[in-house]
Amino acid sequence: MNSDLINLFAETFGISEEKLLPDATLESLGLDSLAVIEFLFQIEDQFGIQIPDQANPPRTLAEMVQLIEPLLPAGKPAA
Amino acid sequence: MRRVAITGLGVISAVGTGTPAFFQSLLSARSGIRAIDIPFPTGTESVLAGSIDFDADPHFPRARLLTMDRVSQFALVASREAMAQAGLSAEPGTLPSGLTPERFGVSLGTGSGGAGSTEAAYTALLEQKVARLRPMTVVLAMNNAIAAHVSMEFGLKGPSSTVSNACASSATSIGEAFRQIRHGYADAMLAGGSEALLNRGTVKAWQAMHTLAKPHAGGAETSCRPFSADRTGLVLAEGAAMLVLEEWESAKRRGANILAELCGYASTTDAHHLTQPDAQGQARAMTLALEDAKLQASSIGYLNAHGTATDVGDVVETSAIKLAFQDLAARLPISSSKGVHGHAMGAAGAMEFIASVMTLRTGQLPPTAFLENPDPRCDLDYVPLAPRDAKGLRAVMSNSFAFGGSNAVLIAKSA
Repeated sequence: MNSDLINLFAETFGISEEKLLPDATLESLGLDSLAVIEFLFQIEDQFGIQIPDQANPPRTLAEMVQLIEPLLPAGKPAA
Repeated sequence: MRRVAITGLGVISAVGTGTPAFFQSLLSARSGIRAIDIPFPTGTESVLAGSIDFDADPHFPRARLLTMDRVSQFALVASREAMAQAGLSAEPGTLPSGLTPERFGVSLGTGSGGAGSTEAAYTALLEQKVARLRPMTVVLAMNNAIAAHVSMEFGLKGPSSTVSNACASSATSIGEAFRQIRHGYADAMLAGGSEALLNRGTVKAWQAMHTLAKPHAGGAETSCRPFSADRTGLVLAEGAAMLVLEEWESAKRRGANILAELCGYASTTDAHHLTQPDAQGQARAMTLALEDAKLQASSIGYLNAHGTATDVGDVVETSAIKLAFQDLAARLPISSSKGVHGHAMGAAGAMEFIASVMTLRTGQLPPTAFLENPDPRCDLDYVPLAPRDAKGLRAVMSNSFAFGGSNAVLIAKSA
């Protein structure tokens, strides 16, 4: 998984990186649907990208990364 | 009519987190007021405040904090203490027999709600000129978010409401919760208030009212001086205070430790002036609360005054107490605890009702701090400077009066 995204996720939610396994559900990590929306908003601001509205919002960490990663500019460093 | 037991108390304030620490500060007249630096756009100013050094991280996961204003955080800290004291848990499905989530409600008072989040949104929009705001802006700032967070934490599905009656908000919210139980709409209520208003906009608005205290020569912490000849105004404060209220027989059946009985409440409106208090309206609230409690004025052994330390407010309250208590007023011990914890606005009534319940339970009267030189117009027994023993206290009263002319009075008696 993209290490910049994982770092940002770990920092935002105060969760140690070893717990951030690809199959971990966002719910099991303590994120409800509003926290997910707020996090995607932060990602958009931080990386200057636009994440399209989702009919099915990401359920796991891997799904969230899959949603965001293709939109990141190549070589863009994490803030 | 059903009786109402108080079974849990919780406080977070400028003078301590936890009811024992809070009440000990009141007894020792140890003030939590200090000068804090607030960075206004025109420059940093030193502002007197009852502010709380609060680190949210030990209390809440960060994911939860994304959707929770400081005002809701305070309410949850106070609620957890009150529920723990009542022996009730946040785990779903763990309410003792006789209590059901559907008949356990929340009654919350706040003056400014999520004012910090509102200001952050306007700052982003107008100062930082962002094109869009955080998605959680509405749910962070809305006034009933506080009650929502409290209800979700404990799974409480009974009636919930949010009262915004300025400084009388949480006395009113407790009184209305009392009526929910008394009249059978709920069997238990988590009731109180929360306030987190020490942001730039709110402080500037209060400065413009010309009701805030000036720094006292004796030190910033001595600047709020209720009933004193040299008082200069109120000091804004933040915090929360929550109580668990239960139907009396249900509380007894489950073996709850009943701390006191909430037995009287009245609410009146002056319909007179937006900011000038009215002794008649205040006195009527005290008299009606006594009637509601079916108590004689002589039963009240301590009165926690609204006592904000404004020039007009303390004089009018003195007149109102004389109107309500007549000849008994001169012998009634009264104090204002705002010199110590400041004026927590929407949380003030709940904090002071908890102070009153603790007074009833301990027989120790908290003094009015810094009352070395009483205003001759405030000529009642305002228990100056030092705590006092009061043997055999049977009932106590707590006054809360607000801008807008809202008056709320609560009475508790020994269990």
